[in-house]
Amino acid sequence: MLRRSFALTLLLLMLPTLGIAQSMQVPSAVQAELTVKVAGYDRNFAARAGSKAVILLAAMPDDPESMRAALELKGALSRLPSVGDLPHEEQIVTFSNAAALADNVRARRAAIVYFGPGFTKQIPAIREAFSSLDVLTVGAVPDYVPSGIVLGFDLVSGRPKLLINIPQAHKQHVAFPASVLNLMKVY
Amino acid sequence: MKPAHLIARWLIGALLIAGTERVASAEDVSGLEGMLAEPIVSSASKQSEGASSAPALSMSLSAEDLRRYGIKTLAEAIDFLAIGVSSSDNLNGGEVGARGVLLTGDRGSHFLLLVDGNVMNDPLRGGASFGVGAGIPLELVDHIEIVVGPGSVLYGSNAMLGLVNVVTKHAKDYSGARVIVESALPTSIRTGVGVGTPFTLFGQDGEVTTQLEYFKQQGPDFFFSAENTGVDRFTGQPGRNSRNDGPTGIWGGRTARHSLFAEAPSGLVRVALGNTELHLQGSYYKHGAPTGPGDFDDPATGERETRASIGLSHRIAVSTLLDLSVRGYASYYDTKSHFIASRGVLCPFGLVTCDYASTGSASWIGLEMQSTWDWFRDGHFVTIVGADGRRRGVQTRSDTLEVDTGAPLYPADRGLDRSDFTVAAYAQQTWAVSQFVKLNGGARIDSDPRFSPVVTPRLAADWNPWAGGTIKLSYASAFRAPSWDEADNSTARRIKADHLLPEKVQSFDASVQHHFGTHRLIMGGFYSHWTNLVELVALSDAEAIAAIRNGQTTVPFTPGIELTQYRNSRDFTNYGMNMGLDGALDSGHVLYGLTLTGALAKRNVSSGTTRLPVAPQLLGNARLAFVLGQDLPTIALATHILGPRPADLSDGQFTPTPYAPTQVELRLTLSGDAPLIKGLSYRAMVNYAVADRGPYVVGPVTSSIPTEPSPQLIPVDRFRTTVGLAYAF
Repeated sequence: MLRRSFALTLLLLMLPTLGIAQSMQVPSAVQAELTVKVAGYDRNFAARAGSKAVILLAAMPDDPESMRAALELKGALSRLPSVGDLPHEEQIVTFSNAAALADNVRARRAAIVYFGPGFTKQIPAIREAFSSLDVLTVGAVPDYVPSGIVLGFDLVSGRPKLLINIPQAHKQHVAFPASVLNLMKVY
Repeated sequence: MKPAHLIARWLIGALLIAGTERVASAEDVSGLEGMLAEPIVSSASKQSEGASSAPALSMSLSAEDLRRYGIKTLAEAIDFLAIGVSSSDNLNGGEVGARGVLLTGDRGSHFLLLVDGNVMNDPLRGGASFGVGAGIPLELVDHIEIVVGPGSVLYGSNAMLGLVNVVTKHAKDYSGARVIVESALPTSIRTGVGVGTPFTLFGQDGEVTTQLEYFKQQGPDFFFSAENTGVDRFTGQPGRNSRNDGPTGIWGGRTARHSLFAEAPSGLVRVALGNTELHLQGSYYKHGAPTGPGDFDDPATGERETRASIGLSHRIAVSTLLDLSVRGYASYYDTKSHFIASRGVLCPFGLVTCDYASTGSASWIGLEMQSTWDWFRDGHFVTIVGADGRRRGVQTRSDTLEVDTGAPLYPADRGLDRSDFTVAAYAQQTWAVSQFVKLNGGARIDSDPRFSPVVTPRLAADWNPWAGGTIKLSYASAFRAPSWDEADNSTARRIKADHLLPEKVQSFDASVQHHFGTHRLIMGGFYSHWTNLVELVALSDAEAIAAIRNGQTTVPFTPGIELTQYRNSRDFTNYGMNMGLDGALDSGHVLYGLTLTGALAKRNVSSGTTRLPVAPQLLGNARLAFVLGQDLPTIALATHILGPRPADLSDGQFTPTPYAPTQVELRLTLSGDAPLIKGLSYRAMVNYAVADRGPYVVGPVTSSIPTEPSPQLIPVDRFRTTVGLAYAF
């Protein structure tokens, strides 16, 4: 009986991995609240967003975890009244390549682009494509930030932690005051 | 600015907490600081969420706090940092209680202890160690989640007082290698080595973190007052209280130098690859038991415990609707204890010394599968359904040996050799009704072949009626299945129980929380009802004679023989209030915290109601830390208080009832990075306990006798200095 149980355990554990390794550390609801809060400190946010803050939520095709992260954040954001004192609108976009997404950002005048899990290999290309854009990029996975996403979330000692890539923030015209940067892990 | 000036400035700030929140500048970040200070927990509902919206009183103790306040064990973390929970040192592994309930002798089995979600309670008795025997390297701990109150709804047996989930660090927070040495001078030393590193295998990202450590303790040497045991009822002469001494009738009267010791090598390894995670943990814990009724200061009286556990989990994101996870686990536990006694009442075989040797080993192997259904794909209406199947095996043996020769003095009890299969199923529904209202409901059913299935439901709601405010209401239940040892085992001095039922508790909780900037205030109340508590009851003389006549024990009849039996003997109610306040000032350079719990636990007895022994009705802690920054040390002062507690033998054995005095423990800790040597860090602690006695009766006098009308209470190690170094490279 014990042998059968053990064999069954191993069999189930060897099921193919449909998901991916990178997982969100901070729950979507908290990410949404932090994104909204932090965006309000961005000195260029109001000028960038115009009359309405458009938030694009990028999801990798065929990646349920990535799509779910986008859906969850959309739901969480929709329950918040404003972003930087502006009305807001969220749109989920399926990622094809960095250049196309950059075009999409320009076309929709997006103020924030959010990347859920599944983008690790695409981050360098996204960094290049977004370097000339005026947009706040936000990543759900901590590893994204040192690779080129402006703002990210980590969980350290059971508390959420903000991460920022300062050079990339400058390139994308994101400017936080020192008092906010003091609360972030800076790359 | 000089450190003294900084401290003075911060002290003034601390006195004015809310009032000194400086006038908001153009970039007032207090709101953001508050959001970043909110702990993220996942133990209460198996979903990641803010602690204020978890469906129970949940808290998270951070790694920084563990280091900052000089914490060395889980028990100390509970005492100095948690709300509503406290430990009690019996010099034999320690005990843990919550909110006015501490069930002495339970070996920690009323708390569920998890490490990275893997159950650490042992398969033999359900016990959990919160001291050095836990084998959990503190440097590897990322945070400790504590859920206070019944929590069987998702976890099953044992989570009656609450659950403690130790979450270990990821490689990103434990990278490289490190060496640790720490000593509580001059009684103990702990050394450890740890490694954490990411890797890539088969195109997938992975990581490994591990720490191995070795702990050794000898002492402190306590003086025990002489106890005159009088004339032995078996020999008719004064009792013998050591192997080599004659019949002096005296126990103690000198310093015990050999019987308080511990040795505990342990190791923990976590390996993650993709969505698969492997958890390995092993520990050995050898320790003395210096305060029992057997021979005085005999180093052979004690216990050796070996624990090993493995957990292998895998998560599959099937679709945006469905997540599946599967966890295979196994746990092994082995114990061997010796109780050395020469007195005739305990060793009725002439002028010999008895070695009551008990061995037990138990293991389980199981599989848990869980599905998470996010019906609207946005996290606001989520169902969790899971099932757990577990195969258990238990073997025990109990011998009475002649200590010098190892020869049996009479036939061994037959012991246990059992195995069985338990299954459980659970479901939980969470519903974020709006941004301000969240509901949580669930139930679990556990099937054990020894008793009818047990259902443990939970209902909880939280509401945010104002900015920063949360009101929580909950009803929760929990149970504890009696261990095979309690339910079906007998030893030389314990007869088998008669059909034990599972213990149960139901609890109603209400709390109000408010966040203002980085400051958090919580106030709450609770009412709990406990039924069928299992207790080791001393048999009356008539019951003992009947047990011997009926062949329920192989012990020969001796006048005054003491036999025991586990029984469902206690129901009681438990209610009280707790409050906590914590926060930070001056951008996190000053940290503070304060908790206070007042709780009553009363059980009905023939003469009215009586308190639970050992359990404090008043408990709390307070802490203040100055993070000076740069190369300066962090200075932290922590204290915890336990109100007066009746001793463990307070059921009429002594008049008046013995009480341990109010205990206040103070700890000053300096910690930081050593100057000049990169990678070297230190911490130094000074610990002082105000009271010199704890709530346990020590020695052979366990009830009032003419020569010893009052008991001797357990001594407390009042002053101790600890220094530690860690080098990371």
